[in-house]
Amino acid sequence: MARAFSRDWAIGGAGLVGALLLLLFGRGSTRPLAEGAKRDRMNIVITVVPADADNLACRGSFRLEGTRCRFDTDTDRPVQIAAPLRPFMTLTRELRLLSGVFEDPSVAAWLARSRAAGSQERATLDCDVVPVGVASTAEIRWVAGAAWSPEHDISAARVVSCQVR
Amino acid sequence: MALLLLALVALGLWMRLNAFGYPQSFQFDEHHFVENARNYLNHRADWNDHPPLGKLILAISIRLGGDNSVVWRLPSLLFGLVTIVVGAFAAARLFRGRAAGLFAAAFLSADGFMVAYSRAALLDGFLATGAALALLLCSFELSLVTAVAGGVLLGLAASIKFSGVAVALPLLAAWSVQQRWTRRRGVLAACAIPVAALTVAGLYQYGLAVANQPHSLIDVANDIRRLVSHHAELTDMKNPATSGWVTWALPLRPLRLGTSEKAGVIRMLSSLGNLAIWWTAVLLALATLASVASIGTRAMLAAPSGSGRAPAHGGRAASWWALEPFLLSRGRAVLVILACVVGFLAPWVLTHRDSYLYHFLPSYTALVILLAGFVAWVQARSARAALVFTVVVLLVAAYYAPIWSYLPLTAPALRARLFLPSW
Repeated sequence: MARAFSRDWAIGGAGLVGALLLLLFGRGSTRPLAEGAKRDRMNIVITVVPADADNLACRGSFRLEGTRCRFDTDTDRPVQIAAPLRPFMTLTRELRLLSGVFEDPSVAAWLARSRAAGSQERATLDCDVVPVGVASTAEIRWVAGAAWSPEHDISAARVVSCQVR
Repeated sequence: MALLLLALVALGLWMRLNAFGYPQSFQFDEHHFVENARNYLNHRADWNDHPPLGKLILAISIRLGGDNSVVWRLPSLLFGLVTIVVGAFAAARLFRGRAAGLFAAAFLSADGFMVAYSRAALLDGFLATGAALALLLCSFELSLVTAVAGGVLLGLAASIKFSGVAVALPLLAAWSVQQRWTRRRGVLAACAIPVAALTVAGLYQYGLAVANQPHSLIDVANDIRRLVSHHAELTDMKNPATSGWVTWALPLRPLRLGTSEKAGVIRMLSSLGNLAIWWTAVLLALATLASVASIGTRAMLAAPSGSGRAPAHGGRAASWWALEPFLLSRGRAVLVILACVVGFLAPWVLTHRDSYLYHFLPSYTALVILLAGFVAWVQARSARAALVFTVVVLLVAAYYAPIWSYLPLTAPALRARLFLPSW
């Protein structure tokens, strides 16, 4: 009886110690990699519907490597820019500002086809992007005319190429 | 054992609270619900496709605490904690033993699926609380009070998401197995229907009024019809995050509610559950369904409820893992919980509506409570078996804690945890 009791304590104790060790040492070395080891180009998967081309927008006066939001904070008016930053939620649910998604040739072709057919079907885009920096503060909206929503520390990137799946 | 259960609850609380406001930007579908909570606060139209209550709850939180990530997620945290407490009471009452309640509290606390939805401003955690509350209500005899409470709960759940109507099934099951139906009991049960309808109509009307929309009862009916039609058309399953209900048993496609990677260090919030709990609970449910089909519900209902002793079974002492004695001694509780599981699964089984893993959360809550009842039953027969299982649950929880609480980890450590290609 006493032996069974002590064996139960041993099992429970081993479980607690094991759990503690897993928590403390089970995550690998999480020291950041050296700066040079950062990736230049990365892959991002997003889903879009044709209406997103008109709906998604950001507002802010900052510039990141020549690209910027379509709306100015001060004037709240759209500015002329070829490939403005737009907010997207990636498939892994990260908020990103991306420039050049709907301007990418294959996405633009898909958009034109969808609009011609009156389709609102969702497409998955597999895009290679190059980071252009982090927007410390930007306002975004998901529907044209909706209120702006302030966001902080959003990674921004420029599209190199996209494939429509 | 008490120490282990306490460790599981403490670990679960810590996983919920660690870096709670991270990220400060939206994760997963928060942009839908927080945006619409803001719309309500600014008296603008709600363009989201769910009834108003969930977003109104977020709006109240933002009004009281300010517009930031901690405040958006606070209601989910509070509802998540209520789910643990209510789930524990439900298990203790349904299975007539404190041990079942303690196991339920520990398992609900240390499960990643439950943790993830306590950390995100999403609506499904609210429905999980609804499932737990329904099971608690099921442990009380049908009376005017329980019928009205059931109606209110039904109305509240359906005002969060239409699939919340599923709470009606366990209530109906419980009231059916408690006693034979009489005219008086039928009238009492029927009281729940107008109460639920009034609750839904009132909340919907309030949501439309706050958003400066037309809000007569006809407007409410038209808007509900519009939303139901809209949902009925969402059947293409093209969103890469969708998953068929059959795949939830594994699960094949858990959702990453948030991920960030900086210089090789990853922080993630995954909706993958505690695999020790998940797989055991699913297997238990499948085995239970097979056993119910084999022995019949009549035999389960004939056994003395809550006696803790199964009827004589061939003169042999049953093994601790034998399911039949458990069903014969706890049949009513098991049937009610299965009704809850089936009720919340039904919309996805019976229709082709796009489905996502989070639709499984309320059913999963009920499954965890069923598992807690079974483990408590096992403990009375083999304390060692229950102890070993609890240790396994703790080890799995500790191993997966980083991806349930945004703890930094390396890519190899992440891959080791998300070992299936579709994860």
